[in-house]
Amino acid sequence: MSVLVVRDLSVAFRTRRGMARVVNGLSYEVDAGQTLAIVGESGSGKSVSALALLGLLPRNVARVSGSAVFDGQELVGLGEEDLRKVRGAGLGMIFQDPMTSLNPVLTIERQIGEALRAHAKVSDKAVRARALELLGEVGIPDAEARLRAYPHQLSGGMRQRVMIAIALAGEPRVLIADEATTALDVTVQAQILELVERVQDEHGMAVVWITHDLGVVAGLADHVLVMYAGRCVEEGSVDVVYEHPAHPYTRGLLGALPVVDDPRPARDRDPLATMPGLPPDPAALPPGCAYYPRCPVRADERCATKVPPLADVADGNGDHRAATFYSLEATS
Amino acid sequence: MTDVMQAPVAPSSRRRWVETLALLARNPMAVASSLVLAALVLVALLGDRITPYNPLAQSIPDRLQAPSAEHWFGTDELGRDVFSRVLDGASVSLQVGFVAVGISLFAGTLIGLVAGYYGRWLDDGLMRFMDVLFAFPAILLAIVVVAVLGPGITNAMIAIGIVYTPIFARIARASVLSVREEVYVRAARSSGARDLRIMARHVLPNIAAPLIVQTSLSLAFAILSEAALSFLGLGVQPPDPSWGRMLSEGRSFIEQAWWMALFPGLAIFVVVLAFNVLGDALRDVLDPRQRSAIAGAATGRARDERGLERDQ
Repeated sequence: MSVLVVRDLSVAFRTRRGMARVVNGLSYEVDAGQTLAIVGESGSGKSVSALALLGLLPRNVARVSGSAVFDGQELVGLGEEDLRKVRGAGLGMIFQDPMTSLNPVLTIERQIGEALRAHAKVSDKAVRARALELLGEVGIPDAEARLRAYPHQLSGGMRQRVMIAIALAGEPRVLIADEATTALDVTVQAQILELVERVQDEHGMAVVWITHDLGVVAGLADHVLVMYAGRCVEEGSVDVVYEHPAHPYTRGLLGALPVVDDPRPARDRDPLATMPGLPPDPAALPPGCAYYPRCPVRADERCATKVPPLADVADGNGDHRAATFYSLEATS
Repeated sequence: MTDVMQAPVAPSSRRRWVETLALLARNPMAVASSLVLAALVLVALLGDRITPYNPLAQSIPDRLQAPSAEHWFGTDELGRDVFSRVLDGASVSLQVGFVAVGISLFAGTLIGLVAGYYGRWLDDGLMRFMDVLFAFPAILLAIVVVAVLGPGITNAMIAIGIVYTPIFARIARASVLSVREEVYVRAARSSGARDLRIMARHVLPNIAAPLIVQTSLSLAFAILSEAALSFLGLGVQPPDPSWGRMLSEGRSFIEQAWWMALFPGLAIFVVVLAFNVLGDALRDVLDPRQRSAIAGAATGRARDERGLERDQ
C-alpha cells in the first residue's frame, strides 16, 4: 500500500514576469520501506515539489494544485495547523547543507528536544534519554558529550547525522532527503547513505531521495523518477532506467557521467560528454516538449508543438514509462 | 577530515549560566564594569543613608563652593552638597535606565519579532505604527505621553520606554527578516514546530546580539531623556535630585561652578561606559561560536603559561 500518493502536483510562483510554472503535473507514489529517487538538474523543480508537500512554500507567492495524499489525508490545501501535525511526524525532511540547517546558537540536545516537543509534551529527562538514543542510532560516538555541543563543534558528516536524528525524532513514515549528501565529501556521503538505508530498514520508512547525483541513486533507490522542467520525463525501476533509458534527457544525464574505470590513459579517453544549453525558463516554457530546444534526437515533429505524454515503454513490463513520442530502444 | 573527527566539546556538566559567568570573568573589562555597576546599584539601594550630607538641605552661605575636602564635588547654587546629590540621584537614574529600556526592549522586540516573522499586513501595520512614533522628535513624544499620563518619575519612565520602542522594533525586525530565511528555521518548521516555539527558540537567540548592543546604548539616552523631561518639570520633581536634572541645572552655572555639571555628567558617563563594555562582553560570551573561541584562547594561554608549546 502506498503511504504517499502524489497526483498531478503543480506549483507555480507568481513573479513579475508572470507565473513561473516550476512543477507541472508531477505524479508518483511511494510504498512503505521503498526508496524513490527524484533526479534532475538544478531548477528542475525537485526541491520545490517536496517543499510543496509539507506546505513550506510561501503561501502568498506559490500556487500549489493537484493532490498529494499521505496516509489517506490530502495535503494540498490543508490548513496550517493540520499540516504542522503532519510535518515531522508523518513526513520528515533532511536538508542539503548541514552547515546551515542546524541552529548555531542551540546545543544539539536542545535542537533534538525541539523536534521531540513539537508533537508531544515530553519531560526534560525523557528528552535527554530519547536524544541519546537517537544519537546512538545515527552512529554518533560519545553521544553524552555531543548533546552539549554546538553545531560549529561538529564536522559536516556529524551534523548531517544530527539532522537525521532530528528527522527521526518525529518517527516519520516518509523521509524526504533533499540533496542530503550533496554538501558532503564522498566518503562521508557513503556513510550517510548507508545510515539512511539502515534506519529505513529498521523503521520501515519510505524514503524520497531528491538528488542530482545519479551515482547516489543507483546504489540506493528502488524506483527512479527523472524530472525536467517540472515534469517527469521518465520513471521506472532503477535497473531498467539505467540499462535502457528511453528519454533523450535521461540518456544525456547518464552519458554525462564520468567513467571511473576507463583503462585508457587520460589523454586517450573520450572527452566527458556534456549536455549543451540550459533548462528552460519556468516563466516561458516551450510549447512542446520542454527538452526539445536541447534535444539531440528530435525524431518526431510533434515534439515541437505538443507535450509528449508519459507512456509505458515496451521493455518495462509496465514499470517503465517515458514522456516521448518515439522509442529509442531500437537505436540502442 | 572524517566524520568521526573529535571536536573539542565543553567538558563541563556545569549549568550554562555558570559557564557564561566564568567566561565573562575572564574579561577584565567586563569584571571592572560589573563591579562599577554593582557599586552603583548598592548606592542606589542605600540612597540617602550613606550620603555625607542631606542631599536636600540648603545652606545659602555655602553655595557654589568649589570641590574641597569638605564638599568633594563642591556645592550647588543653593549650597547643597553635589556629592550627596550624585549618590542620591543614582537611584532615579538607574531606575529610569532599567525600567524605560526594559519597556522598549520588551515591546520593541516583541513587535519586531511578530512583524518580521509573519510579514505581510501584520508587518505593514505594526511597522508603519512604529514609523509614526519614530517620526516625532523623541522629547516631544515623551512630553505628549507625560501630558496624558501626568507628570512624575513613573510616567516619565513609561514615556521614555515608549519613545525608544521603535528603535528596538526596527532592529529586531531587520534581524528577523534575515534569520527567518535560514535553513534551520525551515528545518524547524519541517519538523512540525509551532510558530511561537520557532520564534522563541530559533529566531530570538539569533537576533540577540544587535539588541544587546542597542540596549547598552539606549540606557545612556534614557538617562539623558529623563534629564530633559525633568528639566521641563515633567519627570523628577524638585528638589529631588537626578543626574540628568543636575546636569541641566548645572549648565546655567557652567562659568562660575563647573563642578555642578561635571560630576553628574561624569556619573552618567561611567554608567554608560560600564553598560557598553558589559554589553559587548555579554554579546561575545552568549554567542556559542565566539564562546568556544574565547574558551579556546584562554586554554591556549594557560598552556603557554605552563611553559608548553602551543603547537603540541
